Amino acid sequence: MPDAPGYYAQGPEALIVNLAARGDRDAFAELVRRRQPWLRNLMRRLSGDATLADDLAQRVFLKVWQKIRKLRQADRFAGWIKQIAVNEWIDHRRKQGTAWHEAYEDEAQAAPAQTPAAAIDLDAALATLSDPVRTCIVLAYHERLSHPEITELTGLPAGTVKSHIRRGSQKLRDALEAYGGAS
Amino acid sequence: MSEERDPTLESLFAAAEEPLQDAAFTESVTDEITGRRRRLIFSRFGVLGMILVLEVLLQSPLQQSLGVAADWLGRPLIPLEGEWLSFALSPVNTAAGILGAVLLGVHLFLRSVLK
Repeated sequence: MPDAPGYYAQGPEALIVNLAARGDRDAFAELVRRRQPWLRNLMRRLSGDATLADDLAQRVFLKVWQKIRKLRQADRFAGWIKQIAVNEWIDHRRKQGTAWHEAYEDEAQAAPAQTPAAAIDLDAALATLSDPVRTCIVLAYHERLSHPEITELTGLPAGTVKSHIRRGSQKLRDALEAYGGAS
Repeated sequence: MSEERDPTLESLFAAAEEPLQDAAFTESVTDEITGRRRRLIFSRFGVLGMILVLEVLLQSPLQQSLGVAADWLGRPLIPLEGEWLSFALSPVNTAAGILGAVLLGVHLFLRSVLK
C-alpha cells in the first residue's frame, strides 16, 4: 500500500474532501496543505497582520474539520470554506468590538514585517479602509468574486457592495499613490 | 451592473500573493485537532465519572426527596370522606392538579400573546 500522504497528494480534491468527511485525518491534512497558501493570503489581506491571519486561518480549518461531515456536495468545498473564512473574519471583528457596519477610515496600521514590498504597501493601504469596504475590495480583487457573490458571502446589500468597491478602489489608489506603490 | 476591475489594483493584489506553503502550519492544525479530540474524550470520561459518583452518593436522598414530593403533590388539599369522591375530584383537589392547571393557563396565555 502506498504511503498515505503521497497517495492523497495525487487525488482530486472532491475525493479528498469525501475522505476527510468520513474522518480520515490524513485526507484532512492534505486539504490543509493544499488550501493553506490561499487561505493565509486571504486572511493577510483582510487583517493586515500575518500572525493574526495565521491564527484565523487555523480557526477556519478547525471549523472545517468540525463541520465537514455536513457538507453534502464535495465539489462545493471551495465556496463552502470561503464562506467559513469570511464569517470567521466578520466574527473576529465583531468580538474585537468593531461594529461590522461601522467605518474606521484613515486608521493606518503597522505594516507586517518579512513580507514582500508589494504586500506591505497593499496591506498598509488596505488598513486605511473600513472593515466592510476592505472586505469587499479583498473579495473582489483577491478572490475575483462578482458583486452578487460578495453580497451573498458578506450579507451586505447589493448596492452597498457596489458602492464599497467603487469608493474603496478609488481610496486604495489614492493611498497607494501616497505610498508610491501604484505608479 | 458593471464589474470592471482596476488593472493596477489587480496586478498589485497578484504581486502581494505570497508562497505560503508551510509544513509547520499544517502540523499545527492537525496537532490542535488531536489535542481537542483528546480533551473531549477526557471531559466525557470526567462527566461520566461525576455522574457515577453522584449516583452513588445521592441515590438514597434523591429517592427520598422524590417520594416526599410525589406524596405532597398527590395529597388532597381538602380532605374528603368518600374514597371514590376523593379520587374523582383529585384533578382539582391536589397540589399536582392545581399546579397542572396553572401551567396550562400560563402556556395558553403565552401562546395567545405570542401568536
